[in-house]
Amino acid sequence: MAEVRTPRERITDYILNGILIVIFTGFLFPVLWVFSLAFKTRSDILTWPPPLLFTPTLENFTSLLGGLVGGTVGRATVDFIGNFANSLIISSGAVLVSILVGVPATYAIARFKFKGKEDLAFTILSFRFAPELMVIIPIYVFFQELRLLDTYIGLIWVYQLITLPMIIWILRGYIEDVSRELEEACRIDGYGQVRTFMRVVLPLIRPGIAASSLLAFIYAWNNFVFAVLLGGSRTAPVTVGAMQFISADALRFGDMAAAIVLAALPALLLAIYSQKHLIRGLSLGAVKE
Amino acid sequence: MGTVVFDNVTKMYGDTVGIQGLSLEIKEEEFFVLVGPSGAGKTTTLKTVAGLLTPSEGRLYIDGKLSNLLKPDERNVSMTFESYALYPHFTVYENIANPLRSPKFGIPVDKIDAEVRRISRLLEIDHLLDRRPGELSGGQKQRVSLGRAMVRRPSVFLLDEPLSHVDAKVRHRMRVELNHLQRELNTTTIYVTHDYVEGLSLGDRVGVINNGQLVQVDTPRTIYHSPINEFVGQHVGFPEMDIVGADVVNGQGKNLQLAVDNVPSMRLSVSKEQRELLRAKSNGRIRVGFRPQSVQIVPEREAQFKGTVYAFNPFVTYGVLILEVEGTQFNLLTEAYKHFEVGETLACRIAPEDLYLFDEQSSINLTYLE
Amino acid sequence: MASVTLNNVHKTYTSRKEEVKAVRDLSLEVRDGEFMCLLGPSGCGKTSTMRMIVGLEDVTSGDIYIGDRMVNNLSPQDRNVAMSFETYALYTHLSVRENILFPLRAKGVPAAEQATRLRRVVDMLDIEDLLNRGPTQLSGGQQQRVSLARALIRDPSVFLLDEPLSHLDVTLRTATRARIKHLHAELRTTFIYVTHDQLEAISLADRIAVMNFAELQQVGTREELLDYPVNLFVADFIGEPAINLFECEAVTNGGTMALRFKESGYELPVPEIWRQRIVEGGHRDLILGIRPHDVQLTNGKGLTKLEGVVDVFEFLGEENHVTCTVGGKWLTAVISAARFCDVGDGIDLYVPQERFHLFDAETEECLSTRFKIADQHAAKA
Repeated sequence: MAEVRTPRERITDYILNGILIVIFTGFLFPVLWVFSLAFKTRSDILTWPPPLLFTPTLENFTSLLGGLVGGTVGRATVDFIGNFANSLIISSGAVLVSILVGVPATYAIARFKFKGKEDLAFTILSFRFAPELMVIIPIYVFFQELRLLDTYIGLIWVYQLITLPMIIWILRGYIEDVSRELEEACRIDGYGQVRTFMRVVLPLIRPGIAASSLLAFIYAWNNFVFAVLLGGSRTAPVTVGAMQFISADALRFGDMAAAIVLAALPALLLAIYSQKHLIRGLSLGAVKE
Repeated sequence: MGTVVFDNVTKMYGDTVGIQGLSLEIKEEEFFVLVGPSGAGKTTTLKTVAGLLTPSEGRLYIDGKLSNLLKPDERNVSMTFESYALYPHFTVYENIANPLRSPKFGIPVDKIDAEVRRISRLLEIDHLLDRRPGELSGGQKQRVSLGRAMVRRPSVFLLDEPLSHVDAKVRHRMRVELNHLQRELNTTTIYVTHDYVEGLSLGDRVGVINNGQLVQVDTPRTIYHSPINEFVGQHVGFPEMDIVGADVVNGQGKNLQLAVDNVPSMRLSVSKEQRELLRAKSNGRIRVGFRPQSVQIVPEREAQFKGTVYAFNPFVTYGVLILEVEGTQFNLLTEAYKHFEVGETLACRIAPEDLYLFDEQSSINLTYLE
Repeated sequence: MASVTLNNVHKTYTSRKEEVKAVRDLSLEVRDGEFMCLLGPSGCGKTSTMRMIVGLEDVTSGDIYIGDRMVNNLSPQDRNVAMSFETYALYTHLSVRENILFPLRAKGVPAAEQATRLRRVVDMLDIEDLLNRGPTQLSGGQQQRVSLARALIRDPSVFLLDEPLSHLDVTLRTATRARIKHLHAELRTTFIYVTHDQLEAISLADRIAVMNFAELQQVGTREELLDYPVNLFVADFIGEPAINLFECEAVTNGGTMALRFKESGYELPVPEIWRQRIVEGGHRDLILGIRPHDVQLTNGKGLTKLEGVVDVFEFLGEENHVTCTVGGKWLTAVISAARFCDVGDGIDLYVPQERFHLFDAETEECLSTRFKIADQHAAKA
């Protein structure tokens, strides 16, 4: 129940909002800039100062999806659709594997008492902050021996370093929030351990699974180092594919911008779609206050 | 069907005792109430019967079958939780139906439906079936949790503090309803509570538990009128029984009197039986207890002692008066519609048969002392 | 010492979109030296009322007087009121002694006087041993006493207590209840005590102000609220076990008038003393209320008989409760600890005529109280 605001408080509000708007524009500027580039013609891009008003064009997109970019100078062929499909396969594959492995693993960490539990949990998390380059050489050697270079399975496997810690650390909180007594009640209701998990725990941590998969997917999607070193022409995702626009003879800003906009699309759509799953409201009211 | 036998059951949590050496036999169709303060081992006892905990030592039999190692879903027991533990993602209907939908039983859908409707009518929650637990009041959640436990026909119901989170008035009404349900369902029940009133009201027998050990098991009336020790005496009854130390001294003739510590003017007389008990089992020192309702306000010439009113709190059906006698305070239970002024002097007496005599060392009631 | 008077006090909270009326047209006089309880369910406006008296909250309209002084525009420290908070609100970085002396130091009271006043409250509340400890080293009950001491050392003219017992266990509650009552008798300061617990209110207060939905329902002594409730809310809110209520209809059968239970058709003669006024008032749909402790098991003069079947008998030690089915509905009676009943037995219950409560089913007003008060006025005149 807010009191009526005094004039002085109102002035403070205006100032605060002003500052926020400035900061926000600063953050958003690169995004807006790239977005506008994607719809500009080559000549508009190179005009200085950049025109605020221009006639939007889909030229960049059509040439990108057509596989032939570069206009009149420095023509090159790219397989953007192929890169995009690779990204999809590898990222969703990685997230799927992480969920299948991660949900039971997290359940064990959250619920059971065993020796070295916290150490194990910490080790898993530490995969996230170890620099990827530190492990890349040994992994490269392994992959060479196992003939996993430039294969989907290889990349999905190595992407677990990105997605699995994310899923385990986010889900742990969700599982700990599910009252142990709910499971006990279900055991007494006549269900075995696995069925109890499926019936009670799984539905209640669904928002957590959605949130963690989304984040894991975005991180996997954005990965560059593993893909560029362990992938190859067959499996290159969009992050690697975008490199082709920087070549010796030209920087193709328009094509690159169009590729970036398209590449950002899945993550954006996913975020919008899964918004309602991200709300943790479901588990409220389960037990007494 | 429906017997539970504890044979010297102990449950340890690491080095801490949950329950210790519990031996108890719960009979068919009995309503057994386990009363004790928090941390006494009540919930541990229930969870052991439910199979959520495994005894560290001893044997547990359900329906005559050794059940120490049976999993919860392998025993035919149902339980309500203090927190209710309703499934938040299920409707009330699905919550109640859950035990029947277990693949173990393979009950046909129409039979499940009939049972859920029967039990929800009985508990007067049939208008709530489509709601989710988050939309229910405390009392309604309570009923749903009872419904989920009662919808099948288990050997034993385990009820863990079912009334502790509902407000005083609902609690009273629920107590009456549980009493009524108990007769209707005729199923062996173990009911755990910290509130002795529920024990007296509901139990065929009451067990008082403290520090993991069973202190006394008996009918409500015996528990109330013949507590085995000071703990039971003070834990059962409102206001609390007053217990003071006293010297056993010679009175007129062959009589003995109890001279209460720190209250020189307070000398209590004893009955003939008590005199024999004191002679046989005490060596001059005793702890004497009396309930607030046995301190009678009398005309001055009949007084055993006099005190001044410290405070008077009238309730609906009775009043609680705090009497100060030479610096020591005692509780008195009086009629509600009386008025007492603070500082007023009252003359009181306690009939010998209303005194409880406890051994000074062991705090055991002399009548039980070997 | 002072009286507290509220005249047509309103409190409205305005948020961006809506107005919430927390207190509506409250007029109440707390007499000098009186122990007044503000009682009501959560959200009834009792806490807002208390905060307005202390000065933590402005009044939207209306006046508040402490003694003869209008205090609407005075800040809390100028009102000479003290308050103890539900959560005790002790300063954890100060010792108990410093906590208690805090209000005096803030005012710059001389050291000698500080010492005498400290001695007085320490003796009153029995906290000598705690003075050098810190609040975190104290149990709930001890913290509670220290918070009372800190409030009382100021010698306030009005002392407000906000739910002081709500965080204490049963035994400590009994002792603290007695102590508060004793303190009031000793100090004779005006006490205003806020609670949602009706048993606390009736066991402590000289008079109780019952509030609901931001409005004052009734002000009265414990006996008045139990025996002369003005409406169904008050009758149902006060009393434990709760009052037994039956929906019924006033019917006339060849000259005699009866209350017919809506559910079962069970009939009960209308108490003779009110028959005529029920006819005159054209009251038809009624709710009959019977307090559990007004039911007797033996017949006598002026008693109305109800026939029941014992459904639940409860042995409770100090008293027994018996719940019977009467006309298809449950009726609970409080009976003596010496009296036992068997389940399934028929039982005759007797209620004194003047102890029936009759409510208008629509307005929920208590008709019997209105009749009784009219009778008393007539007798006086």
